[in-house]
Amino acid sequence: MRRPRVAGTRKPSGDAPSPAPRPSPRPRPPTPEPALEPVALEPVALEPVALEPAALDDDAATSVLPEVVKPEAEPAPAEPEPVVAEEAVVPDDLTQDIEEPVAPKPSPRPKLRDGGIRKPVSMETAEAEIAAAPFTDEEAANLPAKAKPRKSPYLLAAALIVVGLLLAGAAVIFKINANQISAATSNTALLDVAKTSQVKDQVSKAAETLFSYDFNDIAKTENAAKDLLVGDAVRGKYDKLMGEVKRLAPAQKMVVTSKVTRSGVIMLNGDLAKVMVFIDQTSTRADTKQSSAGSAQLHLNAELQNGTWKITDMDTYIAPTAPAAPPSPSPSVAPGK
Amino acid sequence: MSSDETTAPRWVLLGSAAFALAALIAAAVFGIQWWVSASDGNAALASARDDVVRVGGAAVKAYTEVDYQNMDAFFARQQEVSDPAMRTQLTSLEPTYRKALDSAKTKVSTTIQDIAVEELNDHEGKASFLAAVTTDLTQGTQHSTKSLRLEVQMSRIDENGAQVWKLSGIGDVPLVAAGQ
Repeated sequence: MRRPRVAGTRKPSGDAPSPAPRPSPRPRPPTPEPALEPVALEPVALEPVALEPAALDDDAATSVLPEVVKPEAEPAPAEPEPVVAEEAVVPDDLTQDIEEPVAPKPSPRPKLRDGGIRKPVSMETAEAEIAAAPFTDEEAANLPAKAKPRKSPYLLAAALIVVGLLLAGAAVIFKINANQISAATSNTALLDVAKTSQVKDQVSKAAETLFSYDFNDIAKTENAAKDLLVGDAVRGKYDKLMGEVKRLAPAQKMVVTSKVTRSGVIMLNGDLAKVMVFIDQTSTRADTKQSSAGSAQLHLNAELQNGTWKITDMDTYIAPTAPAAPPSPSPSVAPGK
Repeated sequence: MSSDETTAPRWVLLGSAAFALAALIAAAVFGIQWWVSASDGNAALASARDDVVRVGGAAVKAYTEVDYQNMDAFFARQQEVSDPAMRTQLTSLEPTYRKALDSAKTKVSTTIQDIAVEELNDHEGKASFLAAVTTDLTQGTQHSTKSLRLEVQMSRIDENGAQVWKLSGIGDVPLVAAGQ
């Protein structure tokens, strides 16, 4: 669209074709001859860089320059385009006017390069639009002043690093927050209401069965232990807790009844759970009708297997200080108190 | 000459731009992660539960840990973690406790073994939890270790514009002899 239009306007100006070398990508050698055709390309190349008009006039002597500029300018198509659109609207006379005044300047070349280099960078870092925006303005302002362009790349780099540091800080904060939340939600105790009450219920019942003992029906407790306890570690702990009872029960005709008075789910994650239970234990000697009671607090780790919560670990919280304590009071099996 | 001038800034610019871009990507990824986890309907409830565990644990420590040589701090801590109703109760009981603790030269250090939240009503700001606690008790020259089963009630109240959990009740879970 643009090319044909501009090309047509250029033709009348006749002499203008001189900048021919610009379209280097195509036919470089025939600089003077293909005047008309190349002209068509010029406006496109000119506008994106904005500075190029100056180079136009020098073209004959510095045919190499434009080549250098172009490749660098190419990677930055997004920004220049709007500029092109604006200029396209501008009457042809205007563009010509601009070219003429710039013509006298001999020095613009170095500037051109700097400008060309800067743009691609700002392009690549599309995010830093804000940083880039002032830049284009600067470019315009820099045309007369040659010293500025050198400083600005470092300024932009510094700005980018500052922006990068801010973003990195934000990223860290986001990550910490995300981790906190996911750590909290990965424990679904009380969040998954149905499962929470299911595990609480089953583990409480399991504890009551495991820690109850009737000298008349020893099999009941032992079967429960076989069924509910998973792994040798927890079996060992259980035997330690109940060993004394098992040893004394037959002789003393002892009946031990355990009741879970409180329970709460500490952790629930998928098929794993940790449940705290408060147990009250009453033991009665059938022969003497003597009875005693004790209380205990323990946590049970459970794992859901085939729809049933099995006990994988248990701890009475006092193991380290008094490992042998639990069964010590003769009839009372309670670990605590 | 010009090539030296241009290559250095370009290198610097590319580096800083790459850094900024990497930081942007990281921020975007983690931001989305955060947003996704925060939009989980359970997030608020989960954080309320964890708050109860954390604040409740500190409250239990404040209530059970005492040093007769520094009782002002003990009572100040108790006030700090309690809701208004508990505070007035504490204030009225303080002289009695002070005397008893002092005469027995009581020193207690507490280890909280575990806390399990029993009930949590985030909407009303009520919660109760169980705490398995071990205390090291020193009275004069006597030393003993004791296990406690505690049941604690917490209430969420407004304090200086912030919603905070405060202890509104604490007690031993008594032994109830079964089958009698």
